[in-house]
Amino acid sequence: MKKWVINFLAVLLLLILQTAIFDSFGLGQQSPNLVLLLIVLFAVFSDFWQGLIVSMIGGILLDFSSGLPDGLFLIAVLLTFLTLFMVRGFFTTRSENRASLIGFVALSSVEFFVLTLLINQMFKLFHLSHVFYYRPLLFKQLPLNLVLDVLFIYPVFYYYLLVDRLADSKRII
Amino acid sequence: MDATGYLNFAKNIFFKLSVNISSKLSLAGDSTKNFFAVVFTIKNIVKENAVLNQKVDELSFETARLESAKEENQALRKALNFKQQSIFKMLPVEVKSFDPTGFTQTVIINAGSADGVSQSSTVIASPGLLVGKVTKVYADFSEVTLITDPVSIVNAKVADSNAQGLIRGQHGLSLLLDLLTQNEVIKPGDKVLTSGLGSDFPSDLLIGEVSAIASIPSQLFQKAYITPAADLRDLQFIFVIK
Repeated sequence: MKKWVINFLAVLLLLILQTAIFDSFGLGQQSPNLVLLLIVLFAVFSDFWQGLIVSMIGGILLDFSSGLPDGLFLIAVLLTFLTLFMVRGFFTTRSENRASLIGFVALSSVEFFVLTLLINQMFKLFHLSHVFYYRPLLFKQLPLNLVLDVLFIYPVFYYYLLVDRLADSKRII
Repeated sequence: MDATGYLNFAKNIFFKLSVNISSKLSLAGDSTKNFFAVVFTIKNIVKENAVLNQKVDELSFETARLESAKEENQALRKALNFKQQSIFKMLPVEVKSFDPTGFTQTVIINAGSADGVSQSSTVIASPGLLVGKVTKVYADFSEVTLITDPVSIVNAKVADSNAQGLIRGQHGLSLLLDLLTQNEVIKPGDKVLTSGLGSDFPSDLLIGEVSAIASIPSQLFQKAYITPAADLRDLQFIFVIK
């Protein structure tokens, strides 16, 4: 029980930091997706069920805080987590950890972005979709998000280690 | 579930928790940012001050001229027995957070159904600059979609030529004034106001200024790019029109 409460608060705090800090420093609405980075770390370093539950918490909180229809980010985040969890089996040697971690972050950022746009198209069937202009999203926002996500992976990694220690959970690697 | 409103209670609690903490963190971030900004820009402040003082003088003259025109307009309307233009009933609110994902141009404000905010209420920045529209209402908070969001469509008119068109958001970059017929004469610097058509927004709210025109003679309509009048990246205190 303690583990789940700590994980929930960890995701919530990261989302609050993402909203508050990057808004102040003139990055406007371009900020690293810290919640996604945390989910990447859970996908790479934690067991399946813990990662899945943290992904669900992260997806729901992202849905609440954004102006998009509820459920869109939840589905995108879950699919990203499942993909990463399946792929991580190919990269388990310690010497490859840094490069493979950055690779995971890049893959997850792009996948999450693309999935969000695709799932929005599916939501059109239920008249719940949002209107997007794909050109500024794909050619400006996506590259900037990718760079910011890669830059911020290590601070989030240390945050993950702290959360992991507090939750006293079992790590795979 | 979002459409039916079953999650509104949970969202209200989430916003109560997150916006209170994030607004305090944001204040700390703003103080740090302002400290470093002053250090690096102190040389420009004196020059900027002089320019702003001149602008204040020009605007004071313009205000006086407009006051006179307003009085004349009201007198003429009275004489013609027009319905008196109502003064807006406004609720001051504070912007608590922006969409952290960057996929939408939405903000959360600290007023909801308990404060009399209703869906589709117009949101403005003082003094009469259009900001957006309330799209979701919770008990104590509301979500406002800014005019720069692609989902926003505003019926607009160009002040000088009275050309009518539709403003569409360009994902936070600028606004696009579309469906202007080719025979309309517009130029950079023209003010763009809400036309009041469609009853989505009250008329004569300032949207922005024409910054560039994209006109191809072979096409049926011409387009213009509009710079929003309100600083939508730095919103803090705004008003909801009840």
